[in-house]
Amino acid sequence: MRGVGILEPSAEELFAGSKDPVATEAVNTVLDTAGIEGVEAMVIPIAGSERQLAIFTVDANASAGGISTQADAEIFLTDTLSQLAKANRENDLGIEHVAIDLLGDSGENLLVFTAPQVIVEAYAEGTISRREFLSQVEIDFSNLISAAELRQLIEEGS
Amino acid sequence: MFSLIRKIHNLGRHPGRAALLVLLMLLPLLSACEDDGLVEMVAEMALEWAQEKKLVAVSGEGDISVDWLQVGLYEGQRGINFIRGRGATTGDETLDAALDVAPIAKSIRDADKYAAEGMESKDPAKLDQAIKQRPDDWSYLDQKASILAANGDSDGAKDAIAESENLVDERIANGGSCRSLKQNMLRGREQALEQQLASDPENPVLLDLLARTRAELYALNNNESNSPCP
Repeated sequence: MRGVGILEPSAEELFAGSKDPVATEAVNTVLDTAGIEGVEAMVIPIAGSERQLAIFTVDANASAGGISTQADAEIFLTDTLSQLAKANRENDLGIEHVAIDLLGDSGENLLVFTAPQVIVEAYAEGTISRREFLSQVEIDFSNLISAAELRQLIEEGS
Repeated sequence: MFSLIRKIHNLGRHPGRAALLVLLMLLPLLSACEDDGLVEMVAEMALEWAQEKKLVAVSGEGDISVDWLQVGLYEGQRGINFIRGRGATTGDETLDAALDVAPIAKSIRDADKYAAEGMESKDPAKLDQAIKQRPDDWSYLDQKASILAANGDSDGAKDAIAESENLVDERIANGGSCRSLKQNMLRGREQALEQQLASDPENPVLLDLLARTRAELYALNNNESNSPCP
């Protein structure tokens, strides 16, 4: 049944273990060094494999100092992703997948982006374009739809 | 944030649901920091992603139109997979599960909060709340062990450590990396014991457990004959 996708493991099963304290600290150090605020990383082992998932939780007030244009931002983003890729390789952190958990003002989830680490690294190193990168990213926005519809109902009712 | 919602909601010639999708793509990113180039770029990327998936189209004049059929199909596929017990659509089971990671991250943040309070107050009941939240996460058992040791309950600490090791051994037996998981567990235990020793540096139970933990870590990192991962 697993082969036809009926019994694939859930997120609760795959990510039930403890954060890797060394990998988590290494990734957060890269973020701190880059001057990013409002983003917290955690690296969790993936059950049944030797690899790990890095989750970046981005709060509603996240920021990075010194960025004033989108050109600056793209350079900054790819530089930071390169530093994360370097930390992953040099420290053998075992990060295979990346997820971004974007929070709203009340701490509720709005969006989740996910991508294989190899795709993130290829984008950071310039071997694939932003468009190719985006074609391999997945985004879950179902919570945002719910939140937006709820707010519309509130507005219509007021 | 609500004023921004109204602003975006009233923007266009597509009030109602179409504006909702514009809002859907941009709201969290714009509201995070309107003048931040990094955030604007991420918003742009989310919109590009939606275009790639053909969920929206952007005209030459910059007007955004929504293909609600595609949005429905995309969300419908996720609904079907949810009924199947899966989370998403990619065909890669880890990536699929990663799309559903938000409640996991929240659960960890909540459990970490209980654990931090317990470590500060040396209250094992707080760690029990964290363990209840994340029953397969051995780090809370190791933190509980450090509190019990700090309180002089050597047997209780050893029991909690044994439970932690059972969880890790079970994961190794199911295909996890012995070296990585043991290092994860031992480093977490070492940090918890060090934290308790900071306020009670002469505690003999804590000192004994820390010495044992470091000896295991040394054996693991140096491939000694007594390494837990031969």
